[in-house]
Amino acid sequence: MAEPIYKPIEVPRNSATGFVCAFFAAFGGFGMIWQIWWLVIVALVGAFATFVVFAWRDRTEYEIPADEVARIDRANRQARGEALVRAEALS
Amino acid sequence: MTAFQAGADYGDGRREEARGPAAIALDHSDPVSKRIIVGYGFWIFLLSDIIMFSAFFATYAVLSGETAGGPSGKDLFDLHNVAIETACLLLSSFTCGLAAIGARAHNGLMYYGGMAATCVLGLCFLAIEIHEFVGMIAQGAGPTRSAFLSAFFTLVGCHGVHVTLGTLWLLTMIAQVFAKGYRADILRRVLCFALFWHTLDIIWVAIFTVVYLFGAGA
Repeated sequence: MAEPIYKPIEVPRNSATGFVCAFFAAFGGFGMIWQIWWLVIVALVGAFATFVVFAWRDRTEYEIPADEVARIDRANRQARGEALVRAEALS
Repeated sequence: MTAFQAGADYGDGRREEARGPAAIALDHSDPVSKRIIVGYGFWIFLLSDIIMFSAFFATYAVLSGETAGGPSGKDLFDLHNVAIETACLLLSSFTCGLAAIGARAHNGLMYYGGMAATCVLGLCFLAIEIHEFVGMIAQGAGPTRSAFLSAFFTLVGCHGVHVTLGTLWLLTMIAQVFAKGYRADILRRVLCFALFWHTLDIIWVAIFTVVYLFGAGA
């Protein structure tokens, strides 16, 4: 079977922003329920700082090179091909 | 050989395989622009926000008559104040639209001027709202007084929190464009902010009608 034409894929960079914001949100929520206002302020400032750090990144994406895409897809195709051969042998 | 056979040439240099399901992931040039994708994704978030507000609206609609012998909307609402609040917010939506156009046109005066006007109008709105809340709590009509007031402070307060955080976002966007210029990804964030701000306006129109007009007229 002829191979497709492989091209680089653009994907977002990994980021811990979601987790860190959730951390601050959890403490902020706790502080609001128990009326610990200093904790609420610290959590809000922390969440906002995380947001700003995330927003200030200059590089937000990276490319998976075409060679790497080809390597992964070839391995998948081979595995699928072998599985089909095994399935045919069984039937 | 038909076009559906493997290896068929479409005449654009790409063969049949490249158009199969794998082609979606492999094709580097997106079928739609990132601006459209980002706007669409942000609309999904906004819709989830609207669903949350609709739950608060439903709660308020059910509880608006349950005053537990306390003050009702008719006793508390000052439509004069609310009219000014509404004018502030509607005007801020207009200036926000101007800022968004200015950002796309890389027009600094329009962008910074529009954003600054939006910020001032948003803060005016918040000042009037906080003044209203403080006055109500001072005369014993706080959220603990009755189910009606709990629902009122939850619904209107939630909108107020959105405007507060929106103002924070607005200031961040001014700083971002100032520090980084009219970069494509930053312009997409300006678009998202504008969508957010207009949505808050839509929700306020509903609050104005359902809470204040119905409340003062009941």
